[in-house]
Amino acid sequence: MTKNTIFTKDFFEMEKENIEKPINVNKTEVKGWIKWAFWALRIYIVVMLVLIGMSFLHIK
Amino acid sequence: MFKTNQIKEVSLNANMLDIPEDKYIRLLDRWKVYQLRNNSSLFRKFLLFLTLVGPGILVMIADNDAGGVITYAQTGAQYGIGFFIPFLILMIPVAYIVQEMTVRLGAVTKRGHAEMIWKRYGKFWGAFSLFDLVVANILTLITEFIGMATGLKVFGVPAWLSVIGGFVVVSSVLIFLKYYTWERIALWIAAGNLVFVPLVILAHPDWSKVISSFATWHIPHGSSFSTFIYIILANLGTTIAPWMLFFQQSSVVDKGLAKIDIPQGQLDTFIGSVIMGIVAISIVILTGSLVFGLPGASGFDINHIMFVLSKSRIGQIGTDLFALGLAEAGLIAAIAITASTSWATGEALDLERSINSRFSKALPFYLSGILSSALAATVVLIPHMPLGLLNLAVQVIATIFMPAAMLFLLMLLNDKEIMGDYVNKPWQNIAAFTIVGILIIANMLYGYTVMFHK
Repeated sequence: MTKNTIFTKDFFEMEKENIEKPINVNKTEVKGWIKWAFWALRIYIVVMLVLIGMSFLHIK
Repeated sequence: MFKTNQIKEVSLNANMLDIPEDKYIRLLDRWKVYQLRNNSSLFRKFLLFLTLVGPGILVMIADNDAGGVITYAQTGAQYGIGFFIPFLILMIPVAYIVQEMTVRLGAVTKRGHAEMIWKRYGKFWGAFSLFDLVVANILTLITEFIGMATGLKVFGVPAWLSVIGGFVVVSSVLIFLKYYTWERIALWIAAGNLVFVPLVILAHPDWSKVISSFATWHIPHGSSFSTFIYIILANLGTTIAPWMLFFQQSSVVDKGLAKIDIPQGQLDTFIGSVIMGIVAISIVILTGSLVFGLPGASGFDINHIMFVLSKSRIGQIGTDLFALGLAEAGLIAAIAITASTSWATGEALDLERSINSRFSKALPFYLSGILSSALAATVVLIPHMPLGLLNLAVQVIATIFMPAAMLFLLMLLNDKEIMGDYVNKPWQNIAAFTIVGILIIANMLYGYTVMFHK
């Protein structure tokens, strides 16, 4: 007897999430507060990169 | 580890069900959960809880890594217990609120953090996150191997042996074990982190002073502002690290936690946060009681701290246990970080990505983690490496990356299309956005002080 035979129908139903492919995730349209969040993130990254550049000059 | 006949059986059964082998092995684990859930005895309920916990406790204990242990020890030595115990208690809910979101995201989407960023926000942010995570992980792994070597040096183990031994353990558990066994072994190793708790009892600290620290909470005087900011942000930085978000979410997915398991996942994260806090506080009390106040204590490195501890009330045996705890902290963090690199690479590049997969079937998944770990180990073994500069690089990358990783987490947790009824509640958003705001400011200040710290 293989282990498959002991799995119950109820179990398969419950584990659907783990058996079937996960939900489809598509690229989202960036709008509203998320658009602002991305701009803030870009600015933050640029500021930090400038700080790093300055720190290296500072070390020299 | 599966024997040859078991591999054949797994392969056969997976084929019969028309699902990949790694998913079939996960189903076998989930079958145990299903049986325990359908039994109403209290003992079975307790077993169910023990079966479902793991990712939360692991991520939190691994967060008390070698760098964390050193930071806490130096904090206690430099500032005593006055300020930092209440501060570290505050860090417990902070860690919980952030990491709990990864449990819901993983259980609902069945996808890891790297995959979600890549798919939801595009290739640029996906590649940006993956690159930052892998580089930060390699750099952090270097500090873990240094921690292992420093801890085991107390027992006369040469650095090369500690590093190679550590690498072999980290790689072996990833390659040869299936998820559930890997998680259980990792949890047993993580239990070693608790060694710092009995050490505090052995140290006989002045408990009235510990309790009064809550009533007389004040910023310690007598130290420069930049040094104090550096220490406080180092402590904050060790509470939440980018790899933790990726690790716990991927771990939840690989374990197969479903929506029904979210409460247990939350409890797992809560228990992990409390343990993390207790261990961190224990280390601060230990060095705050035995090292603080000695001439030059504020400048002691970890070797010096251990030397002082060996001459203190806890003696050589206590110091040996401390050193063992340091090595263990490096090892458990290395195990978790290596897995997080493998998972994130597999998710972002859409490869087979489960610890349940056979090594031969998921080579790129396993190799991404193992090679990054090998690179870190090699760097530690190179003589005269500028380790100070590497530490600086870790902080700089974490500084840039952490707000981005947190922002993606918050955006995803507010995405009704993905999360449905599991989106963040208003109070969760208020708490999480406050933490993110503080973390961003703290990271910027930390980055600034690290870069310009004299």
